[in-house]
Amino acid sequence: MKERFKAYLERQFRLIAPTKAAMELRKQLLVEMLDKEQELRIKGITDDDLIYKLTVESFGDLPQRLKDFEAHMVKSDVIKRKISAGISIALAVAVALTLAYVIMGVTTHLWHPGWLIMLGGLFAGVTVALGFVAVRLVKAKKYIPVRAIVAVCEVLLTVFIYLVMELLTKVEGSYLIFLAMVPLLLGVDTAIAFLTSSKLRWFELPVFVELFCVMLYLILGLALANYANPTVHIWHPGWILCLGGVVVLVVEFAVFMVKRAKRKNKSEKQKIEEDYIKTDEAYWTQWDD
Amino acid sequence: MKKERLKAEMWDRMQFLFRNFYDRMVHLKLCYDGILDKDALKNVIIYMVEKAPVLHSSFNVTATEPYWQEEAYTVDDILSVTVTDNADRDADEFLLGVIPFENNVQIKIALFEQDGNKTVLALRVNHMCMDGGDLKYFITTLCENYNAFKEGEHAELHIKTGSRSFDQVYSKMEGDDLKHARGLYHNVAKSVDKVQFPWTEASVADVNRIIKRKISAERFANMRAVAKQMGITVNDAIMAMVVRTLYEICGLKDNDSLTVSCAIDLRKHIVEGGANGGLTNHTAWLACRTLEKGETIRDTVVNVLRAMKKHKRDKYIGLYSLPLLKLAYTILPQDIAEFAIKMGYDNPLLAVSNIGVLDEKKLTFDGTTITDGFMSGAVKNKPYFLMSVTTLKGEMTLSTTTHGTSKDVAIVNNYFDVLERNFDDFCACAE
Repeated sequence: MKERFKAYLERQFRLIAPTKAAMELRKQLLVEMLDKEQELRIKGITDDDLIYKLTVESFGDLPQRLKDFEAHMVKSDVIKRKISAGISIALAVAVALTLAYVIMGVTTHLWHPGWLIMLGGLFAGVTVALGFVAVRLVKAKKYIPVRAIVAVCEVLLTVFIYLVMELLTKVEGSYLIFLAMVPLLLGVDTAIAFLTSSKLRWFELPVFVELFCVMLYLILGLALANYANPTVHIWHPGWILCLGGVVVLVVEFAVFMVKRAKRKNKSEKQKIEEDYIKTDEAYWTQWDD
Repeated sequence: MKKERLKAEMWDRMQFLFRNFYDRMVHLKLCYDGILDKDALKNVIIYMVEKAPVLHSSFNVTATEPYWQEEAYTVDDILSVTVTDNADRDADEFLLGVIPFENNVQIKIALFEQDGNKTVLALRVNHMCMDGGDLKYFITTLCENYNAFKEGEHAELHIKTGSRSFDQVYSKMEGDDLKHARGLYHNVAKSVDKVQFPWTEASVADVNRIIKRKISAERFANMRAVAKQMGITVNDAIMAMVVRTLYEICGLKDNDSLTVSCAIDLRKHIVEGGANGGLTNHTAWLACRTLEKGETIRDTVVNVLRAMKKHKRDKYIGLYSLPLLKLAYTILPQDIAEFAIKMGYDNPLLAVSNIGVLDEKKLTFDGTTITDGFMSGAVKNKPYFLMSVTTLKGEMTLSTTTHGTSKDVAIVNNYFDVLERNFDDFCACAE
């Protein structure tokens, strides 16, 4: 039986180049075939031809598998090289940023908030790495993880901007950026949903608008009351702004109903035309049987 | 070898839910003159079971979604061979056994040999793996493969190995029809009539039982001829006899309404009748609701035809509720989905399943001659009643399976007596 398997594998492997990796795979497949043979004998099959047939069939479409293997080998080497290059660049950037931080610290004693350079570099590195992953996922049309990656990048960016505003420019109320982050996250996500024709995009739109309005209301209210003119506030009747999402929802519903009515009118008109207006002499004598 | 995990399809999960109503087994018995080659049969069985992984898997229930897990097994877990002095009795006993869903194999086959020249093949399989339609395919393919194996034609060995998904039933549809079929969310499983078969009360003395009645080839041919003369199908004729019999033995008034469910094979909706799919369930129930008994059997036939016509003329026959079930199993965790479906589902109290013809030519193992056989549905708990109908060599076998006492057997035999009387009345309608 072993010789039959060997002969079979040798025949099949002539479909791909005789590389060392292919040879290793061929040896591995022989081991798997022998394991399968043993398993089938234990299960109760006594006929060698049947064992051979079942074993070979259990490997599915082997020629296709071998072609995939060959293509994957080449691709995986390219990916490996890309990853190596990426890691090298990342290491070089990290070393450069560390050096810049040390030089800045030693010469200007700006140890704090000079560390922001390191953090910025780290965030930028993570964003670039995630960007590469996102591009691959977009190519594979896997949009849900892409949306998660974009959200992570936005959070990192928000945190960094907040730190810069708080530590370098000392802007009052810089924490408000976190309130702005919420509609930003959903806004970008909604945009991606529309770009990728996600099923939930029309549901997401009013949710985004509602969140945008609520956060705008909060940001304006807090900013005006605390940092501009405490006597001027928009809490009332500014709360009306929060109805923005409801307005969008109502408009969406109205548009949907009008479109639906138009579509139904069109199909009904077509049906009336086909059933009652169009004539054909065959309709006098035509039967289903 | 790595043990694969298989998806529990919608019908697998529905049949799992039906454990509350019956024992989930489908039964088959075939009698032969002659002895089978055990070694060949073993080889062929393993070949087929290997190709259909669900048959050597255990069903695992989790909080979210159940799944099948491939298990280690040997041919001895599936096939048993016994030499006996009463093969018929032993096969009947074997058929009453149950395969737990956690078992490593979901099919059991037994050969009972008698006097060195007679064999009875008994088979029971978990209904979660396949229905009567696919069991018929399975046993036919087993015979074909056995014969090919005996002739050394190994390349001829085959079994279908495609998808087990329920949504193959939409494979023939497109456009608006497909959209409409996929939107048939309304629940049709709620029954208006609550008429029950007159079983005795459930008791500790209840055991699994299969009760059969044969209709000779001559009588069946006569019935077919009368049905043809009337322009109705054999199924319509059987339904009329069953309906009339149930009116009589369930103590209904002539103008009471009665619902008898009728099994329908959904493979008619599938491209090539499901030949490219895997072994699975594709069966739904149709409710045949008559509003009165009718004075004569002819009147009952008319009433049954009226009840069945609206189904027969519906191009979505049997496809109702499927999207609702799919939705429940998709969005709800297992326990909640089962609870919700149970709330909205009435298991048919009275049902008929016409499994159809068992082709003697296709069921002949090399060197043997088939003499008798039948297929039957799961063993129902009271108050549920199902009569299965199969035909072999022109002879019709009516069978019902129940978890009951000897009194219940007597009640079913009385039912068969009345049915036979109605059968004769129907045959007397010949012009």
